[in-house]
Amino acid sequence: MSALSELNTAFIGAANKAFLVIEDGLNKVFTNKYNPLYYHGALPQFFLWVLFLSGLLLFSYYIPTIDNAYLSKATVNAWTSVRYITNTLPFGGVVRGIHRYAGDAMVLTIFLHMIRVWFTDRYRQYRWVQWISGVVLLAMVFFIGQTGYYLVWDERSLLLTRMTVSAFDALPLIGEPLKGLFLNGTAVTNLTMSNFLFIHIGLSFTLLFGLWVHYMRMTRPVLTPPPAINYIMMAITLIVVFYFPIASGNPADLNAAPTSFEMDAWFLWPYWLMAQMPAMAFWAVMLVGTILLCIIPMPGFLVPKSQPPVSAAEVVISKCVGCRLCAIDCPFMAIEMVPAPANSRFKLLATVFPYRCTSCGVCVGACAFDAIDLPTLTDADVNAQIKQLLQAKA
Amino acid sequence: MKGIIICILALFTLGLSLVFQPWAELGFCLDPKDITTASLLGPPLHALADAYSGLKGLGLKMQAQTVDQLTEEAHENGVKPDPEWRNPVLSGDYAYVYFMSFALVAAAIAIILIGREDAEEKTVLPVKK
Repeated sequence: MSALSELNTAFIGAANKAFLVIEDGLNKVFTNKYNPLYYHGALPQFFLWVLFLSGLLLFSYYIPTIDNAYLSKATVNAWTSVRYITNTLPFGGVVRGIHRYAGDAMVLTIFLHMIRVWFTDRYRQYRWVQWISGVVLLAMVFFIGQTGYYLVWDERSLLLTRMTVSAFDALPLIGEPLKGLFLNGTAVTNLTMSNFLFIHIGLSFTLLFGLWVHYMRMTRPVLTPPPAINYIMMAITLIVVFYFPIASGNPADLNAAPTSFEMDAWFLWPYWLMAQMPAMAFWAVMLVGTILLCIIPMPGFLVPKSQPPVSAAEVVISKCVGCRLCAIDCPFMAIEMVPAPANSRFKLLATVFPYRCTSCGVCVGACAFDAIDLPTLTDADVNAQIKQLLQAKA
Repeated sequence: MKGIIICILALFTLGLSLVFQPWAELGFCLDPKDITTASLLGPPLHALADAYSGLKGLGLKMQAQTVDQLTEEAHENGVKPDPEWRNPVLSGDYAYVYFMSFALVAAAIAIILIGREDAEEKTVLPVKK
């Protein structure tokens, strides 16, 4: 192995050990049923439901227009509707705060999920589908969050919109059409605000489709943390809402040119990058960063150890009774039950998809009829190894 | 022992929800800037005292339907909100969820205590074949 590979192995080994120490500690306090580290995938999903519910409540009173003629008392637009929600509606400010901080919490828990998946080696082989769909989902979450900031239509929203438009301007060929799609026209109008609202809500529901792709190659994915963890997550969100209540900035004025805004590191970090470099350099950094993130699970890329060849499990057709236990237990959905041949006593027969099998051996343990086995590690081999170990210990 | 702890947690959760709710819903004084590590309970308890002294004046006159009307009635009866807070109703809303968060944590701890023994039993693996 090269020096870089050895260093990588050592680093990942150390990080894995650190994770296991934390896991052990949390297991002692919470038991494995309530250990939040075991729900690292379900936590972003939980915050997504919180965002849907709080967003629905905000949507009931939100008005997607930018009219601010003379800023009269009777003006009804995005900014005044958000102010009405925050200052007048009972618990409006709280629901707005929950919506904002649940979004931040979702990004934080997604990062924790990515880190844990990486350090526990769960992105390998055909789990690249989960990894790449996860990268796409992360990009969607970032964009949805940014459109949320546009919807408030304060000075920050105006500046973010202008920065996005100038970033699109720099792109050759596709820049103009993208700008037109983003603004829903050639300038910022009421149609632009409806567009932002459509993107914010429509893309959020498209997340559900992306999540289906993310989950579909997993057997029994855990989608919901237990209620105790949900209560604690909501409690933390509510405490943050109390200590850091949300307020809008000054209303956006198309004739003005705001030059700075309050940064939210979770969602607005691309705008910080945009401000540091030319637009084309920004797009290059985003593109290269996304590609690097996608190719992490590819074989040969930062592989910490050499990959042993995978020998898919094999069904012993003469012994299979079609009980479905192996198919139910397989974590990778690599076993399917097909109709048994006409001359069989049984209705179903197990069949293995070799390209999905990772040789984990769960099916061998599940089968009560010795009807499935790993060709490179048979029952006889395992029994012989156990006997050897026992004799050595004796 | 576990039963006693769970009963205490349940009463704590109920108490936080019911005792502080009238005060919070009517929007009494609470400036979040006053909440410091050293005085987490000071301002809320002070506000609670104000709330009940104000509530005595309200008596059976609470016919108001909206939060603004309730606040106006409370003010007429001598309850003084924190003048720095633009809308005293807001401080009540935020304070309410602040205390609800402690109620949620207490409920979560109670659930974990109840479910803990089940989890420990389930880690015993069945013998194969």
